[in-house]
Amino acid sequence: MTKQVLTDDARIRRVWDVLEIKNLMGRHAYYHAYDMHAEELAELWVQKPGNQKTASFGQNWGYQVGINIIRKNYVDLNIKWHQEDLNELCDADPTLENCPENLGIGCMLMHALSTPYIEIAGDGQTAQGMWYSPGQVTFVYPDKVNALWMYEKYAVDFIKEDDEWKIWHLFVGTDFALEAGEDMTKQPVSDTSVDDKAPEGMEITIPIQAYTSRYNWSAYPAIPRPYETFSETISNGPDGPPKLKKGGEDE
Amino acid sequence: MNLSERIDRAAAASECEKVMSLHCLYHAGGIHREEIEEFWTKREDCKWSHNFGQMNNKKNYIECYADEQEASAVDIYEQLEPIYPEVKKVKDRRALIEVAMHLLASPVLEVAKDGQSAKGLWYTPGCIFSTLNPQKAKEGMWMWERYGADFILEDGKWVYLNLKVCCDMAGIMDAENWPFVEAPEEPPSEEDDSSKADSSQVAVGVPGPLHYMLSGTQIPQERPYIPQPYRTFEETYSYATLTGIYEEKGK
Repeated sequence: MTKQVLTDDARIRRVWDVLEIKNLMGRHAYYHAYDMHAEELAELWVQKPGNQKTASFGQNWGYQVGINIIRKNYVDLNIKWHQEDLNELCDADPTLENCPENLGIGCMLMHALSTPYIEIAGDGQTAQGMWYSPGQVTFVYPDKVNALWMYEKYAVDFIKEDDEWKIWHLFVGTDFALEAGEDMTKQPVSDTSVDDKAPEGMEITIPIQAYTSRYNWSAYPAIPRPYETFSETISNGPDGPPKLKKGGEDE
Repeated sequence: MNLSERIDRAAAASECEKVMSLHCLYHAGGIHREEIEEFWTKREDCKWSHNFGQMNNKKNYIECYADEQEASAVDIYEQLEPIYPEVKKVKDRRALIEVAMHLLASPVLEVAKDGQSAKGLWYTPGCIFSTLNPQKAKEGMWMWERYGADFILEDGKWVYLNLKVCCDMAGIMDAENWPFVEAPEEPPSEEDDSSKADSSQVAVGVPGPLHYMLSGTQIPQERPYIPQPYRTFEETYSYATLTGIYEEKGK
């Protein structure tokens, strides 16, 4: 990328772009926590049909590609899981009303965003960001409460649509999940199933091990570097992982 | 301050935040040599400090932060490979040491009036974990520290001049009273390599302690100092300033 002298206008535009992207990802964190997944897809994710077709949501176990599959999992399947959990809770406690307002009752997901690193492309049309996320997820069942510490790395591609930044490729790599009070040394070394296996019922377009803490630090997703246009950088979508490239490498 | 100068400062603060996040992302993967090459000053008088002491020039910093760490990666690989032969496929063996996930929170950033330097202060509520290690058991620790960073503008790029790390608490993840729980001792390796370990230790230029961990008798320590508005680097304090036992000697 060639170094160029930027005008005041161009410089403040880039500072502002970084702030807007931080806000966008902050909104994602809160929409997710508030179970506003449908709203999130409608407001924060790409809207142009060409971009929706290539939109992706990657996790340890692979990629959901295309906004329709993402919606099927992130919105519809999430509601189904909440409904199943609510049915169980209502069976155990008849005083609890089985109604849409009670979906997600007792659950709390907080994926906080820290350590922001954001690169705006030289052409200003895309951006890449990386965050570390210290989080907790808590679920309530009739016979127990499951509270987990969850530490993750977020790697995200953003694209500008009509002068607004949108989430294009979201990748969430889970490093570990640890039950509150659990001694991590007692977790079997061989067991990364909580983090590395897709939940039952989730439709995955490209099932691969895209991320794992099995070997401690994972080299993918790549730490963003300055770049001019999106074609010259490493995508956080399914085109990115070394394994998916022609003659792909394992690590 | 005119608008252009304000833009300069906003852009500088944004760039310094990126440098700090990049340090955390590189450090997590053990990418230390590249860190020194890519976003540290070219000057020889840079300094990196921790509770245990100060690496007081570039040479000492490279020896301790890069050379020693790479030797440690080789050592750990040699211990791991007989237990987990699949580690052969990990290209960069530094990734096998551990994941040092230092998160950034609560930034205070001050850019000098002359626009040639900046200072930053962060809390870092972090953790260190590994799945594969010679102990054959997962390892997880929480670690709360503070970062004080001096940045300078060098050839149009913001880079570190000094970094001061003050570690306050470290202990087993989610253990009861975790800051006071001692980490389990690593089992001795099958070969008696204590002499080798001693000989590979490179001494920091200025031994500590420069900061003290939390204890039942430790009063709060006001360091790294909170950045205040300033005009030039010469008129403010530096995060290279020796603290701890050196302050006490001066009293």
